[in-house]
Amino acid sequence: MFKHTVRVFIGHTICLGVAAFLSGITCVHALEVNYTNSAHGNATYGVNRSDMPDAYAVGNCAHCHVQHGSVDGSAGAVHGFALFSANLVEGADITYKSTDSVCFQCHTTSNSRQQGGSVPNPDYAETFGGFSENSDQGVLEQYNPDTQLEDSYHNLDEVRIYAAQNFAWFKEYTTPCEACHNPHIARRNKAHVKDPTYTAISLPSDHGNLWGDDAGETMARYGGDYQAPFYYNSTTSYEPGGLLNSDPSKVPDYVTFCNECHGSEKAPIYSTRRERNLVMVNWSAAGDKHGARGRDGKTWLREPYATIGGKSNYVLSCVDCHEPHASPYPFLMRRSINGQPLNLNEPGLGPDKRGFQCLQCHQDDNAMGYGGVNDWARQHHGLGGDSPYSGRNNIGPSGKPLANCDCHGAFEGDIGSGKNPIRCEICHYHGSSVPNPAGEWPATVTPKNGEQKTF
Amino acid sequence: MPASGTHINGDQRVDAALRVSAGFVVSVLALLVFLLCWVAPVHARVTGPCSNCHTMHYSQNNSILSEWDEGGPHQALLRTDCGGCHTGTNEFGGKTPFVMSDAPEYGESGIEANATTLAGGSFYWVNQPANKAVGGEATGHNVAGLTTADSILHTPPGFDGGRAAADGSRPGGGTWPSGQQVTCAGVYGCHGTHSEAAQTSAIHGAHHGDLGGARINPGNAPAAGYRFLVGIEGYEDPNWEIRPTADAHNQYKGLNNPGGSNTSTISSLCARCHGAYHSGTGNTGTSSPWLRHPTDYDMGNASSSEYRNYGGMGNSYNPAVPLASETVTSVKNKVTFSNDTIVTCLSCHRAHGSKYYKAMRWNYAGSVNGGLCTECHSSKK
Repeated sequence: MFKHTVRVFIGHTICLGVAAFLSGITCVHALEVNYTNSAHGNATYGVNRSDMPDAYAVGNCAHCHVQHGSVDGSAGAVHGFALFSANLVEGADITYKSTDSVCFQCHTTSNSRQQGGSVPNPDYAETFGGFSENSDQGVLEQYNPDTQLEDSYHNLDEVRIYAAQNFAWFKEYTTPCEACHNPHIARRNKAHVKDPTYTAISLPSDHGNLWGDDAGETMARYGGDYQAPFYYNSTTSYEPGGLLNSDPSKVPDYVTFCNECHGSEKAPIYSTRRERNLVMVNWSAAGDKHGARGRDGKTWLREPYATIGGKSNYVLSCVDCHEPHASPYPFLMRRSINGQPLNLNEPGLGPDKRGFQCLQCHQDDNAMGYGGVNDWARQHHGLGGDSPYSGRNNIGPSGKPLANCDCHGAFEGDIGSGKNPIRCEICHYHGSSVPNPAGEWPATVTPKNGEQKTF
Repeated sequence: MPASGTHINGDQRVDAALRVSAGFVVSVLALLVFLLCWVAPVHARVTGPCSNCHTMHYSQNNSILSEWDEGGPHQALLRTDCGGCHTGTNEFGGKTPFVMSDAPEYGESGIEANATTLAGGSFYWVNQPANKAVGGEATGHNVAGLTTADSILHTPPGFDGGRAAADGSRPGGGTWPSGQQVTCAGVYGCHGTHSEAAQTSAIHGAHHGDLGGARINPGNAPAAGYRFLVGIEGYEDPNWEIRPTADAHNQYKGLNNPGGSNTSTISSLCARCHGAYHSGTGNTGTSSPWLRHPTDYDMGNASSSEYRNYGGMGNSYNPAVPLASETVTSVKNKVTFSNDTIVTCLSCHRAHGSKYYKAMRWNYAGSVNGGLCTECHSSKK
C-alpha cells in the first residue's frame, strides 16, 4: 500500500513537472495591460517631446501632460487634461493641422514634436497589408492626402461629438482619437503586426482595456468563417503581415470594434461630408452578406475566396476593405485590397471607382475573360441562374422589359445610357436590398424581390 | 478570590492585604517613574536657556563666540538667522527641525527607515549639481541665504499678483521683482506674515508660542498657524514627519473646493505665490477635464475611479503621497474618500526641496510612469 502510494505520488510529481515544463515552453503570456507596456510608456521609444528638459525620462507623463501648464516657468495656453496642446480644435475639418489635435503634434512625419521630428504610422494597407507604394507615412498626412481624388477620413470633430453623446467616460474635450485608442495602454502594433496582443485599440464601451489582445476578441470568434485576404502582391501569404496561412486569431475582431459606433442598433451618425446620416451596419446573420448572413446563390469570387468548397459564407473584417483613419479614396476605401492596389489614380478608369474596390474579391468581366476591367455585365446579365438580370422578362424602372436598358442612365451620377455602367453603390452598400426601400426601383425589377440580395 | 467554601484565617487576610498594598505602591512608583522619565514626543515651543538662541550684546570678551553667526547682530537678539539654527542632521526624536544639512538621506520618497529629512524635505540638493532628474537648482525653493538663485525662474512660476493670506498680506505686496529670491519668512517668504519686511518680525512670537498638534481656526498669529504659516490649519506630527507611517504623520488641511478662495488649506499657502496653478478662471478649471492638475479636490468625487486604489487594500494613508482632509483634529491612518482624500500641492511636492527635479517627493521626471503618480492614477502603472 505504501509503495503504491509512493509510486502514485512520484508519478503525479513527474506528470506535473512535465506539464509545468511544457506549459512554460508553449504558453504565450499576454503582457499586462498598463502604461509601461504601452507604446507611449515604453522607456525606449515612448513619448519623448523634443522641447522638454532632459530631466524627463522617455515615456514620462510630462511629455504629454503639463501638470501646471508651464515648463520652467514658461506658461503657454492650458488645455483639457493638462495636455500640452489642444485636444481638438472644434470644427477642425477639411485640412487638419498639427495644432488641431494633441495627437497630431507627434503623429506626423513633418515637424513632429517627438524627438527625431517624425513618427511614421503608415495606413492599414501598408502596415498590415504590405502595400507601401505612394503611401503617406504619418497619420496627419493621411488625413490630408496630396491627391486630387475624393479623399475620406474619420471626421474628428464628428467623432468627438458622437463619442461625447454616447460614451459616459468621454468628456467634452477628450481627444477624439481616444474614442478608439486609449493612449495609456495602446500598444505598438505597427512593430508587431502579426501579434494582436500588441493591439492599439480599445472598445469605446470598454475604454480601460485593450481590444484584440485576448482570446475571444479576434476574428477567430467567427468560427472559421473569416478568411484573411492576400498580403500585397502575393497569392500565397496573407494579412496581417504576410502570414503563410490565414489565421483569424491574428486579427482583432474589428467587426465588433467598428460596430460599437457603426452598428445598425446604434445611434445614428451624421456626416457633414455626405450631408446625411451614415448607413449603419448589420453584420449579423440577419444583416449583410459580407457579414454573417449566408449566401443565397452563386457568387463569382476571386482567390482566396473562390476555391474553398462548401463554404456558405465568409465574415469579412471591416479593415479588409476600409482604412480606420483616412484614405485618399471615398468611404475610407483601402489603397489596396486583397493583395492588389486599387490604382484609382490612373487616368481613364471611368466614373465607377467603387467597382475597383469590388473587383479585388469579385470577378469583373476582365477576370472572367469576357470584357474590360471594372465591367460587370457578365455578373449581372450573362451567366443565368444567380445572375439577376439575365431574364428578359424583368422590368426596368420605366416599366418596360430590361432589354430597353433603361436602368442605365436612370440614376444620378450615371454617364449616359446603354452599356455605360451603373455605379455599384446604387445597389450595393451596407444594408442594401432590392427593391430599394426608398422606392426608386419597382418591385418587379428583380427576381429576388424583397430580399437583401446586394450586399 | 478563594474558591467557594474555602476558609480564610486572619494571617492570610493580613498577608493578602500586604501583598495588595505592596503591589499598589509598586504600581504608583512605576507610574511616577514613567511620568518623570517619559519625554513627551512634542517639540513645539522652544525650551532651554535663553542663550541657546539669544545673545544680549552679540559680544563676548569683545568678540563673538564660534557658535554665533558671523553675520550678526540679528534681530530679536538672536545668535544667528533661520538657516543658522535649522541646519543640522535630523534624527528621530530630535528637538530642532533641520531643513538644511550635509548630505541628508532621502531614500526613494523621503519616508524610508534611513531618511533624515522631514516633511518639508531639504534645501540641500538645490546646491548640488544636476544629474538628469536628481539634484540641481530645480530640486527645491531657492531660498536666499541658503541656496543659489534659480538661473531660469526669476519670479515664482504661476505668480499672479499674490493671493492674500488670512491676515490680508500678500507676497511682495502683490508684486514680485524679477530676480528676488524667496525667503524663509516675511514679504517674500512662506512663514509668518507677508506684511513684515524683516523675517524675524514676520514670525514674531512664533517660536515661543508654538503649540504643536492640531491647529484649528488659528487666526492671524504666526504662532497659531500650522508650522508658523499664517492662517493655515493642520495637525503637526510631533517628529515633523521624520520616517512617517500611516499612523504618524502630518495631517494636512484641504477642502473639496477646487478654485476656492479659502485661506486655511495647505494648498492655499502655495497659491499665494503660485496662484495660477491653484485657481482662477482659465487656470485649473473646476472639474474634469482639468486644465492644470487640481488641488483642494477630493478624489472621493470620482466614484468607481482608479483613485479608489489609493493606499492599496484597506486604503491606508500613504505618507509618501499625502492627502489632505477637511478635519485635522487628529491623524488619519486610513482614507474613506469622503473629504479625506483631498489633493494638495504637498501630495506631490516637498515644500523645501527633495533630491528630485521640481521638488517632487519621488522621482517623477526620471520614471516612465511618473513613479508614485500611480498611487492615485492607479490605472497608469
